[in-house]
Amino acid sequence: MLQDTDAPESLTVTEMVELVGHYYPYALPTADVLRRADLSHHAAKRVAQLSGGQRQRLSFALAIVGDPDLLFLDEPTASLDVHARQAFWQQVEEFAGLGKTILFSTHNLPEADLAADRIVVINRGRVVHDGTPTQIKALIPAKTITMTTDATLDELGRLEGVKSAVPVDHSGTHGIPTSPSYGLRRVQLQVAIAEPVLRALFAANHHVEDLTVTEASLEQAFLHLTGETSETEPGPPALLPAAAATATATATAKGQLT
Amino acid sequence: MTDLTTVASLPRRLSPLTRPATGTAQLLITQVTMEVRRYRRVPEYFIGVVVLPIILYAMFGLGDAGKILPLGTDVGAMMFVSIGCYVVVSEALFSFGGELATERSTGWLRRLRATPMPMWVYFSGKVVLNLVFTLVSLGGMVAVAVVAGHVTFDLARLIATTTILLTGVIAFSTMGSAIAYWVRPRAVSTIVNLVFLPLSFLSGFFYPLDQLPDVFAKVAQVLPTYHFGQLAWGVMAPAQDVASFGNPPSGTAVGHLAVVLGWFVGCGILTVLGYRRELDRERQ
Repeated sequence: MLQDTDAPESLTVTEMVELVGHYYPYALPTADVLRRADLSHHAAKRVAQLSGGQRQRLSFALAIVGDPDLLFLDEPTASLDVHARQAFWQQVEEFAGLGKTILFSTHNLPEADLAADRIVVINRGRVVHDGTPTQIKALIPAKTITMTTDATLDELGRLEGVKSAVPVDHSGTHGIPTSPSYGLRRVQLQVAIAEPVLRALFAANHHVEDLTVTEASLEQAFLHLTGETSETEPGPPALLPAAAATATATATAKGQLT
Repeated sequence: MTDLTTVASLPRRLSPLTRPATGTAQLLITQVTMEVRRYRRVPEYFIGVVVLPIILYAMFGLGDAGKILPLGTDVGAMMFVSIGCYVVVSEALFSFGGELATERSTGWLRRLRATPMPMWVYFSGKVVLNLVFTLVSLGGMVAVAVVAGHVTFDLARLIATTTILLTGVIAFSTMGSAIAYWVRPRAVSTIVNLVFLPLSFLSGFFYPLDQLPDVFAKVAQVLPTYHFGQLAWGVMAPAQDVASFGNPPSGTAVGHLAVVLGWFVGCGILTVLGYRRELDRERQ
């Protein structure tokens, strides 16, 4: 699938899908393709009358009409808004549901996290990691706990599973005053698993308030993998993450390859 | 550099609804149908390419219509051949060549290359499109000749001439494609005009050849359009009438055919070279 269709403007959506379908040894029925690309309501529109998002969907329709086993998508959602993006991944997932393999490249890491079964991270032309999103995120402390507590940093650091405990700025993002006179401080912990740490804190009768637990993002894992620190913003040109995704197919396809 | 090559053949995973292709004939029919629909819907194209020749014939072809040459050929019929030749060459150069060049500069053709579509289907679609449009133009001209000019045609000669003219669309198509593949897309219309106008004048499509200086008559001898014109006039009328019309016949039909074919093949080779050059460029 290319980023711009540049298709003959005076043909209708149906005619385009019909025509391109004839080029392949096998083709999906036009009605089915239009439904999968959410173009059924625009079937009779000429290409010239389509909006940007509809053109992108036509591009997708033309990519799947030949019933390919493997679909390459090069930054497919680069020009789409949030809604269109969501709808697009739904269509891709549905197509993957037919047992197809979908390979896409993206700079948008949350998107890879959401849509991919397998992610290959490429940095400066080299594969630096290959695994599921969960495996990649497991490379770094998986959870971040932020809270206000009376436990000291020493006490927190000694709890099992805590990799680091650091104080967070008093001005606090949530505007909750942390008064040293009550012995309360705002801290951030990096932990492997959150639950045992919290259980231990509560068991020791520590005061805990304004608690949030966040999962490590793929972005953090990516920075970790490529050796960049979180202080330096990742420059997109140097870092090229690529993600491979299928709903069900990669595992099977791999099984046949090995 | 790590070797990442893996070769494996996996069974095709067809979707439940998928259906096999319906064959090459069906593909060609679909390609042509879509090409015709596509251009028929663009009014400026349709009028410029299909309607304009009919208007030209009505304006310039009917002046002496009804005058009969010594062996019985209507001058209106001869003018049909002259303007018909002009239409054929303009179809091949402007429509076929020009459109190839335009599509070459858009992403569409590149996109088509990502499909298993054979390139000959694409080119055939364009040639047949131009054949269809030329036939419509010629039909319109005949209608104008008969209705407005009361021109009498010898039916057998008219059919033979029309066939020759249509063959001309194919014969000159390689000249159009050679220009399309060797000239920068933006310069194509200029170059086509530079080629087309002298060809038409020097081959007697606008003025009878015997009204042009001798030098031009000599130059005309190497032009495919001159020989094509000779062939077409020769089919429409006996040699004596062609001479009276102002284009004295020279050479044999086989000789004319050889020159036209030679240009067809030569330009065809140029097209293939230009096409390959472009593919190589894109791979880099």
